[in-house]
Amino acid sequence: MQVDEKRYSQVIFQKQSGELVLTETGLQFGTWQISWTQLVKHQVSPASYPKALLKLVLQGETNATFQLSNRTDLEQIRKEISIHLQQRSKKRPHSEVAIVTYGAPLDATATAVTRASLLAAHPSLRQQHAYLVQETCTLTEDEFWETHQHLLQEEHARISGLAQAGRSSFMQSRLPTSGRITLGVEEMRQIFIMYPAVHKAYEEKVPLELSDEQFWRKYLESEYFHRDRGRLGTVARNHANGEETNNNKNGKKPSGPSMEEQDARAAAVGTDDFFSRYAQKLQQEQKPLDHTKVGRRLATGQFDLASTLETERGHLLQGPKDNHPSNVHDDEKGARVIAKYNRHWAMVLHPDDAVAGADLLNVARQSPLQVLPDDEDAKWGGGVHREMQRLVGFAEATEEEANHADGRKADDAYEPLSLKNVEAYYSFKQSGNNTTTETSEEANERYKVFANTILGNVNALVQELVADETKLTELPPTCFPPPKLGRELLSALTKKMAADARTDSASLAMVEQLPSEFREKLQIYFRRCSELLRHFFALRQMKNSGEKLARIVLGMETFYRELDTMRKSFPHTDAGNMMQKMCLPLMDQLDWAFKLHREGSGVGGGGGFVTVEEIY
Amino acid sequence: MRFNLDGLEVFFPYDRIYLEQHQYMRCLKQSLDAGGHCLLEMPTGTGKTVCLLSLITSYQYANPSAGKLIYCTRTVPEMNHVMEELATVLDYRARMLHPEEPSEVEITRPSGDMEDIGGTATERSSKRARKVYRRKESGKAPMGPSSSRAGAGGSGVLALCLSSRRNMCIHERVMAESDREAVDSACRSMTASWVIEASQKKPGSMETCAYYDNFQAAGESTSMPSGVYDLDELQKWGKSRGWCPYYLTRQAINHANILVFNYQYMLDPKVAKLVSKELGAESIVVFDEAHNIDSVCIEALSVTINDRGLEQATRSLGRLSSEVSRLKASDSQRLQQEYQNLVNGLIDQGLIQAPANDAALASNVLDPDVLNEAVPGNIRRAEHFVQFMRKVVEHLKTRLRSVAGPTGGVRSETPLAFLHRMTNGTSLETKPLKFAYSRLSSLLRTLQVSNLDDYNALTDIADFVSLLATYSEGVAKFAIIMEPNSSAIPGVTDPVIQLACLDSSLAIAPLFKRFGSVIITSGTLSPIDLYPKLLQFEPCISESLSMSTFRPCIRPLVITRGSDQLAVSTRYEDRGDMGVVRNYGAMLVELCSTIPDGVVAFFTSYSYMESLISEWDAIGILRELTKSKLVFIETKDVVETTLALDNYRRACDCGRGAVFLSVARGKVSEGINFDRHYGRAVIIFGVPFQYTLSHVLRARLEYLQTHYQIREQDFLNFDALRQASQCVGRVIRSKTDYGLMILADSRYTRHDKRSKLPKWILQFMDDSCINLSTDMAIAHVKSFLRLMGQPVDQEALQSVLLTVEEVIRMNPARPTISAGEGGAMIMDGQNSAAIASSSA
Repeated sequence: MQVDEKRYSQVIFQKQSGELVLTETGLQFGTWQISWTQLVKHQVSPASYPKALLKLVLQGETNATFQLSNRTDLEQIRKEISIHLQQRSKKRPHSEVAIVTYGAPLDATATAVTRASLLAAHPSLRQQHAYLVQETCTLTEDEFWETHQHLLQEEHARISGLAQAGRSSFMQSRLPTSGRITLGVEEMRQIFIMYPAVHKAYEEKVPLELSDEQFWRKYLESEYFHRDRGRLGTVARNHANGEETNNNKNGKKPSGPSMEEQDARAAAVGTDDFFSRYAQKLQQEQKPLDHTKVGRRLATGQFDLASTLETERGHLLQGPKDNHPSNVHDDEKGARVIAKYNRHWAMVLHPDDAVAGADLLNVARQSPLQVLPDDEDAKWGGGVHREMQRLVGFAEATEEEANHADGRKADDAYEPLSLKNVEAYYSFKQSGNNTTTETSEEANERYKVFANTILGNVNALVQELVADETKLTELPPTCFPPPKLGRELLSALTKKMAADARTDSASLAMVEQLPSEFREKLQIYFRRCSELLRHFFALRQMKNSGEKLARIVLGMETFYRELDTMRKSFPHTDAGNMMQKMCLPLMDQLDWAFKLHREGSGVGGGGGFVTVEEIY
Repeated sequence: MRFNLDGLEVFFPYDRIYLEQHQYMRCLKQSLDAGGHCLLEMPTGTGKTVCLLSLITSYQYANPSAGKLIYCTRTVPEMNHVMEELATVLDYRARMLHPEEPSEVEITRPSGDMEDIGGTATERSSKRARKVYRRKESGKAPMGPSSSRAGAGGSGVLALCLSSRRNMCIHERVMAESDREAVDSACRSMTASWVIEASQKKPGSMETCAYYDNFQAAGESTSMPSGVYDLDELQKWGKSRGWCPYYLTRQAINHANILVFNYQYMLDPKVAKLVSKELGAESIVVFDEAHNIDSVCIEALSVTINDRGLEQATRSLGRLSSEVSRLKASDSQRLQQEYQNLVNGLIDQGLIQAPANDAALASNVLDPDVLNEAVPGNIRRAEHFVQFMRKVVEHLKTRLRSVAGPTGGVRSETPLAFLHRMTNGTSLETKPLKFAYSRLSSLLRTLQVSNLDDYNALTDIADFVSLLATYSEGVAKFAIIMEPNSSAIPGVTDPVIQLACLDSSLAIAPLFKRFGSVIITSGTLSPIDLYPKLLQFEPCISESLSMSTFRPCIRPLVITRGSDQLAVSTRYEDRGDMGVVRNYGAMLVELCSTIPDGVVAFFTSYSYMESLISEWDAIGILRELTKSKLVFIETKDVVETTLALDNYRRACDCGRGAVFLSVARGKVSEGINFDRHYGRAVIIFGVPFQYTLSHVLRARLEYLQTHYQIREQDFLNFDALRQASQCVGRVIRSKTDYGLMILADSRYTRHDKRSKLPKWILQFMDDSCINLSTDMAIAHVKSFLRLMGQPVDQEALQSVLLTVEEVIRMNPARPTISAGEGGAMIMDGQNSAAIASSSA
């Protein structure tokens, strides 16, 4: 994309005139070399400034300012340096600009604010917090939050606007019009992309005319910023064609902007609004979209409206007219909003190409060239033939050929084995066997024997492998049972599981029968129980946590008793029995924790989470 | 499957068939047998195209005397789709008729067969490469010249499609021009008859197109082998022979059996003469997706003139007169020749039979005397004619000024009154005005103008006065509406004079008269009895088919209230109400956060969408929306909208989905299927009525009331509801596809609105979902999506997809009718009765 060497003559640096050369490795002025790795960032003088200056900020806080002969050279060198810097930053795993480093400690105020906002946002968390910290004092405030560190960090990032770049399609650039505004790097980036006028103004005014902070202050105070946030009730005005519509007919007050917002707007009216001027300037510079240059294939298949409307005499094909007059009263506000959102999707879908001042329409135009799977389907009825073939194939297929999950005839005999279809998979092969002669008990006996044999074989094999690693490659052929036995065993297992399993709808129906009060309670108990257990297991791992652990265990015991009381209070009806049963798993979990605690108490931590041996 | 339908052997390329497909084919066959026109409505996603193609091609095969099949589509992608289906149908027939020959699917496609034909553009090659891969995979039927001995379809069928030069040209330099006008004029500048003559006299003096020259040189020997040719194949074939595909196709039309092209080649009188003049009367004409055919007909004959156009016309006249004087000095013989021709009348002059390569600007709705009579004496001389047109233009300018002026305002006149004022004001006669259009085209030819599009404004004016003079007498089928429209710049007006055609039957009447069978079909033609009235014809079959399904794959929901129980409506008095704005917004946000993948929302008009969107932006609803879906919005610009659509598709393919905000009468509502995950739900905010204060509409309504006894409200409801059902009908493509159709307006509960929806939508609409609030609707949506997410049931599918045996049993030769094993949800009165009787 770029030439190996770019030369700029008549460049003045420290009163010496010379030639500035851009190479693959860096910049060169006379004998002075600057490699790309040394360069941190570059700035240029604003367009209104008479001299064309290029400032390079190098590592170690040193600067170098070059004066170029004219503006076009300056623009070009700026772009080229940007490209080099971009390439370099792409090589790094992440752009370092806007990523929050997790785990960095927050200061006291930030912590308090973040915690409060988290609690406000999550009702379940609030409930837990109230129960564990405030009511029962099982945990201290810090202990509670220790386990939610990740949430805290995320919330803090959200509040301070330091969201990770390109992570979400959420529009960061929409700032509130009143109250406290925090501008993060991501907001600024998005504002630049979404509002090219602001970017142009920034390029020309900062840092010579305005400082960074002054600039943003001006932006937030400007009418441009507020105008874009809309006024309520304009729909009414537009459609009444200037007549006052009667908003009060239902006795409602006309809804309008809040007082604060109105004040902010009133203040904005008088201020110098250079953004609007830039927007006008940009609009004048921008020629209307040149249709002759856009090329032929703009979209895939049926989505290519232009392929018809731009080639045939379009007015007959555009769809019936609605004859509605166009909106002339709202000074193109709707059009601006539409343009904004159409820039937004381009930015989200093409995050790499979306940079400040980029022509997003051009960026979007690249997309049809990037081929996605199933593009043929996107044609007008492109997949109809295939779809019909598929359906007919599925309808024609015999039981073993049919792929019920995808609704098609299986292309070949192979179908991935799963527990669900294992019956269909083997039944036709077994149908001729003499398995029917033996009774189910006999069969069960047989399976047991098989299972034991297999277990024995595998155990021996594992022992052997562990003992002698060199033997790893050669597995004795006898170590696994013959495939037929395995298959039988599997099908037996599946049968048993199928018999035991309930369908989702059955369990749903069962749950529906229970009183809603109980369901709510159970949910709360479940959360409490999980929270307590989490703390319990976490603390067990830590040393010097005896006191806390004891508190937790105490908390668990209280909870256990509470649960037990509730369980016993159920009537001895069907529903009651069911409810009793449903409490059991929670109690079992707690029991298990108590058992561990008893065994390991005094030791101050027994190996953490459940290990496999302990289960059996 | 190959089966006998009332004595006709039908080749249907699949092993099973839907019941409604069978019914559809039977209707088609009956109308072809009767030699009459027909109107057929069949739901989208039931394989309409394949039925049409397989029945008509089978009919052609059985009756060699049957004429061509002329298949008219609306868009270029639709045309490509028809060609693909056609290839499938014909390939199947060839295999059935000649089973000994191996199927072409395997034997064609040697490597390198699909080599890059674009040559220059890299994008083209990447597309091509992918296509090859896909074709192999999906086993699509072959395009291009047939390799088997018997030819395509087993009987040497030639199927062609035709589009503009921009889509067909293969000349490198011309192809680099990318808009239609530029391509056309670049082509004409190299292929017009005078250019060819000049270069023959003095080789090298003019640049000519090698492809066109080769084509002309080959002369009569240019024949195309049997096969199915889509645009790509035509270009490839042309390239391989060195012949111009555009002119080759234009010539080959005469011996093609099947022709696929755009509506306008049949309906627009300016283009129709070029293409369809030699088509035989026995041809079968199909208009697919024809629900808006009356609007197309009206548009084709309506002319709008504004200030800019008049200025441009004045400039064109200036250019013409200088051309004329130049020619007089250099080659006065040519003008003399033209004069002589004009004395002899238009037909003798050869204008109507002009060579195909010169843009003949003839009109097929001209008065018969215009065609036969000599051109009146006072406009025979070129300079006189230019003077004549000047007067006309000046008069129109004066009228326009008076409309925009202080005493102006909207005026409506009959053509007769307008003409009267014109003849009084300019002291011109009526008769020469009738000839203005033909006289202009003759002059342009004589002056050897190749960039005809520069003269568009003047041509429009000539068209305007010709139509005006021709239709001034008798019943006023046109209206002249003059409006001082306000433009985008406040305080400035942009006045227009519109010659509005009021009678949609005018443009299509010649077709009904000329062709034996005209088939009008679409997914939404309800209420079907209105179309014969609007288009003034008598269909011998008019049928609306319902949908047989194995599960309720469509869920229409009528939302009448927001979550706060306030009624929502786009009624004129309510639409500005903040409660409605907010409720609509909240509805969209809630639906978008519940429904996966793509959601499409339609608004009643562009201006309403703009104002609603800016309100939503102000109260933070759009912002809320971006949390769950990416927002795409239709704009007035075609290219921008295309880009938005393509990116919408990408967003649906790879993420949480997207929401496309669009206009119910816009470009998007007509051409695009939001099927599968591209549209799990279509929401339509409000009833898409036309702007009832529009003067053009008022004139038309009045005309319909007085001449066809169609009540105003009936027509408005019909027009709005066909648009609404078009929008919601975009959501489904096949029977395994599923989608929600959400009609958000309190007026949809009313019977007069609801009853005008197509039968196949009504069959899924039960009383529980016609009066919902937003929160109730959300519950419905959730349960529907859960149900539809399940895999398809094989037995149920078998019950709607009939086998050959079942089809044979349905043949009325043996009257026992069976519709499968049951479970098919056929709501059609006749059939369910038949099923009941057969099972009883």
